[in-house]
Amino acid sequence: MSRRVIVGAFDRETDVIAATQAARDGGYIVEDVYTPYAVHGLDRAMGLKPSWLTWVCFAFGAFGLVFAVWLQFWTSTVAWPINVGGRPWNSLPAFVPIAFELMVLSAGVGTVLVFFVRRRLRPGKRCVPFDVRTTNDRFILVLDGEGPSDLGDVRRLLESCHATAVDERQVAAETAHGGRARATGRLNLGLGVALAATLAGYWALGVDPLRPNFEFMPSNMVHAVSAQAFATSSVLPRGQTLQDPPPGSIARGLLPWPYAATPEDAARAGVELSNPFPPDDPAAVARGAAVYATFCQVCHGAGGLGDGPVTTRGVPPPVSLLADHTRQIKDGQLFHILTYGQKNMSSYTAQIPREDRWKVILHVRQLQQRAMSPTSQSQVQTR
Amino acid sequence: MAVVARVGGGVACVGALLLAIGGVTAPDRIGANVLLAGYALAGLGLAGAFFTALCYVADATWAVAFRRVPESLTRVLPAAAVLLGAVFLAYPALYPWTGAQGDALVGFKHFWLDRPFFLIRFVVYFAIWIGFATALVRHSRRQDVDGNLTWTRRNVRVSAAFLVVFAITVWLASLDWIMSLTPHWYSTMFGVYNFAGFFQSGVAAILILVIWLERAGPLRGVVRTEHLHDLGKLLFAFSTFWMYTWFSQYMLIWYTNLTEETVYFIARMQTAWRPLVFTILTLNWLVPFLVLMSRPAKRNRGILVKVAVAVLVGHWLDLFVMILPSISPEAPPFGLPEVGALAVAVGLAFLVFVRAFRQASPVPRKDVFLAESLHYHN
Amino acid sequence: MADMDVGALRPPLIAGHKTLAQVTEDVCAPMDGRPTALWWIGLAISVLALSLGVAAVWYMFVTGIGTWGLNRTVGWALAITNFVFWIGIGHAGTLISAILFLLRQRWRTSVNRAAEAMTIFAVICAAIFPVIHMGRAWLAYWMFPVPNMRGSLWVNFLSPLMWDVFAISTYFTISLVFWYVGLIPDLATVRDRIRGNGPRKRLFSFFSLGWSGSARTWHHYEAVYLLLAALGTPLVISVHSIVSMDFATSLIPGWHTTIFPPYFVAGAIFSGMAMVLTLMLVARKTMRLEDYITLRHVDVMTKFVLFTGSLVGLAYGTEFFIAFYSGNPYEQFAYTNRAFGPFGWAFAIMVICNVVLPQLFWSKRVRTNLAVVFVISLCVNVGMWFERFVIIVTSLHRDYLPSSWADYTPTMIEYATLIGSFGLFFTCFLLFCRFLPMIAIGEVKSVVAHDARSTGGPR
Repeated sequence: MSRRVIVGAFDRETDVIAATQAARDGGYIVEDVYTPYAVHGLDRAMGLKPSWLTWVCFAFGAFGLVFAVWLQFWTSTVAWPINVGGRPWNSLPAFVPIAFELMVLSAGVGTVLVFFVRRRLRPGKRCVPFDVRTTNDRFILVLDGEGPSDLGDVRRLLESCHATAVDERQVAAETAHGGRARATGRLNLGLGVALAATLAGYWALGVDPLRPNFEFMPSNMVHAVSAQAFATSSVLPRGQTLQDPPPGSIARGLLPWPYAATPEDAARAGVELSNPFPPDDPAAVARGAAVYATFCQVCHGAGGLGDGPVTTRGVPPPVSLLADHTRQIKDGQLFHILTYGQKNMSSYTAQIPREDRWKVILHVRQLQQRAMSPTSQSQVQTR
Repeated sequence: MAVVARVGGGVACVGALLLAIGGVTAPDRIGANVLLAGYALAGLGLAGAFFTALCYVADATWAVAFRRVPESLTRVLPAAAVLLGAVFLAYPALYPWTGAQGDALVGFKHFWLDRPFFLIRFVVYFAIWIGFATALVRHSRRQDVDGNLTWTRRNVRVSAAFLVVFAITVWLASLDWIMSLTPHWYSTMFGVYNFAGFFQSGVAAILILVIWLERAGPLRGVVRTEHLHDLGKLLFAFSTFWMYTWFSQYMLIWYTNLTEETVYFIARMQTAWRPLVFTILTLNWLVPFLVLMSRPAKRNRGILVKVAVAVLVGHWLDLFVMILPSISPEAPPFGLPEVGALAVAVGLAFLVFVRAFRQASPVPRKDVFLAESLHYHN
Repeated sequence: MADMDVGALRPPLIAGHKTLAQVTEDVCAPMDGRPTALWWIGLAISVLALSLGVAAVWYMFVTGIGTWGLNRTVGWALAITNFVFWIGIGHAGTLISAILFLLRQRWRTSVNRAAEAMTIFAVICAAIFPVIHMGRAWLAYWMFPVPNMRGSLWVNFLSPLMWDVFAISTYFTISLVFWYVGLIPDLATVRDRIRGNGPRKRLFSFFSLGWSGSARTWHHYEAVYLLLAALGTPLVISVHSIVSMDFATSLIPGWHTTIFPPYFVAGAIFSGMAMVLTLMLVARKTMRLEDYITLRHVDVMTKFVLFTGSLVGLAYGTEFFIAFYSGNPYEQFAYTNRAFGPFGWAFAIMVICNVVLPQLFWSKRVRTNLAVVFVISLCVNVGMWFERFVIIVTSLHRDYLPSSWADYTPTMIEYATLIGSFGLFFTCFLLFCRFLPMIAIGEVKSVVAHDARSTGGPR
């Protein structure tokens, strides 16, 4: 099947515009005009409606905007809220830039793709021009020649508008449509094959969704490059990675305590050590009282007389803390007793931290002092 | 047209009367409202001068046909100077840094915000603006007589120089008159933001005046839909630019959340002023943006006028929200001073514009580019 | 009578009264035959520089980011400077193709194609730097919000660096689409010019999408071009605004200032225009395009450089003025240190190249002296590189705590990476000049026709 078209060639844009207008006024059907550049005024001469791509662009832009706002809102407030500098989850001002960018991206790319599809532009498409010079310097007017028109009339009309050549041609009818159907068929076939291949491959490989992904680029966040502390080392002294501390090092939080659990060392501690907390430090005294109430009072009694509640239930009562010889014991030696225990009393190292042991000694001294004051002296005596 | 001038004068007088009564009932708000009126008029005049100068420098001949409109708008500048001068001389207490109520300023700010220096700068700004605007208008009108191309060439040079000093002086003026109402607040964007508002509202005013003058007669047959289409594009573009400056300033201050910067927005966004801010964003950006996006809307006189009016109202409110919270921090005041200030500004604008427009030919009839402007296509 | 005056005031944009066929021939001529010796030398130097850069980046990947001169105080330096510099260069293309299109500036047609190509290459150069700065470039896809098996852990949309990712990728995509859409009719022109059915013909056929020059297609094409311009205009402004927000949303004096978005945009257009000027001055000489890139084109571009340079100068002044007006001691220190501190020399280069030298363009004699224009445009490029260096390094290197003050000296690896980015840029650009029409043939033809109509001369 082929049909007849009339082809007029022109050298100037003004001529082709005039000819198009004249042909349309003369009742001919303008199939198309081929020009080397966008000729302004030709769309009016051909009677083309304004392009509707504006609306496509608007729709794609609106879609991009809504999608971007939703994505940011949903990820930042619903799916995985993260506190960023105390800003609210839904920080709308901070979402504006990305919403704008995605709107432009969607609108631009979408419009161009719709344009390509609508005007059937695709990579590799063959172009069979009426005149190879249309993309260089010639303007070609193509009229529908199927009607009862006489070539001579048309020739006269176009030549009155300075046409350089007018002739009639046979073009394959429906070429465009046939070619399009074939291309679509081929595309569908290709997509179908690709889909089948993907599904077959998926089935054949039996992919386990729980298996970790293939590591295409080893990440040193997973596989640390630093040395493991307890592994052997080929370069460090004695083959060990973790080196011995230098002589004289003190471990953090462990001050040296060069005293044994003997009466001699207890006496030496009394001479050498002194309480790091002054007796007039109210915070330290208060802490000491609290510690005393927790750990000591149950045996030694609230006043330190050695009459704690356990003594009424068969435990031998300890010596009164207010007794003269107890009062003579130096702070350091008391600390030694607290640390190692003495007679029935066991070590309190595990229960009372070092600083609290010093503080509780402050409290004991205060009990003793209060006992020495006249009013409490009389109380003691009355008992 | 003469009627409009008389009505404008009448409205201005009524406005002045209202202001005077308001001076008795609400004396504390008078200064701020007159400042608002003066500043808005100064912006209008500057926008006219800027538009004219920009067209000369950029060789934008499409606007020649209605160039007398922006030219005549520049004549508003002396009126603005009178209003602003009255405020600065009579109501120094408007500015916390004048010492009466403010805490001491130190260093450079102490030197800059100093009353005599402030007044000197005020005079210098207006001398520069009025000087350049007068030169532009005079050269353009002389061309009507002899049609000599040298006037155009001379105006291109004047315009280039004007644009340089304009950029600097507008920045400093917005800092002096508006930003220093909150003396401890600062923002480098403020001048750009003020310029954007001026030019946007200036284009809106030019649009309204051009359409009105076309309907009233003087520009009939001269102004075409193509001109309005291009003005519509400018309004669209500068509404978006205004939004861009507003958003950039707001977002950077919101994001960083520094105490010394957020004071400005807390006073406007976390008080009863908040609804007004959203009204401004709607009128100044959302309305022009959505309506003028389509091509037919930019070629429709009725729609253009409505959008331009929305923009002008939005701009007035924008200035209102810049100025008044420093006087009335709790809520937007409304009363005789507010109505009076608006009436004075609108009335004076029309009165001065019409008088200036009638002084010369409505079209620069011997400008060599007039033909181009009359026949171009979008 | 008035019309005659206008004719004298408006010389044709394209000199030499070209016919349409001549335009095709002139633009396609450099694509025929063997490339000149000059082209080969240029390509050799560019590829050498590119190889140096690849080696430097490879070495950095293998060894670690410690090969750069960064330290705890100066955590961003040369790489980010280069990033902002190249993004800025990339702004001229979209400016010329989009904004000037909307402003009906017909002179743009002679330079827009090359400027758009330049944009694409510059954005590629720019995008490399943040990616390699991450140290583990192979994890770069983590920056995109793809559903994943880490939670699904999404990206932090509140971070300006994330805005950058979207801005740069959108900008690159839209620039590429814009460039390609503009190129299609010209590819068809070249396709129809090639005789025979060799691989070159088939390649051009493939990429010209079967373009036939149909007026019905042109009609939609014009709409698409206008829409892309309308989208590209706010896009180009948003991109550099977002880049500026990388700095301005921080708390660092010298970075946090509200004028940054428009100031960066002006600077970007300034540097981009200077780069276009530099390249076009070379191209018109070496590729004999004097009739297409005329003195009038140069004149307009120099005015653009003058205008944007003055805007940038105003922004510098604003920053300093407000720093002193604010009374904030940290701000004041940051700017005093910027101008008079250890990097004062860089600040001086920046001010002289960006603000002082372009002022020479006020004189018409300077604007028409191409040698001087060339030198000034080169200086502007240098100055704009230093602007970014000054902003980034001087704001960081003297912290709030004097104890953490540090110096910064770029290492050889960093210099090599910078040279490599230039190598990449020029390699791409030279290949582009050789294999694609570097002037928009179709658009220039419509200008030629317009000139012919308005001057009444032969077409």
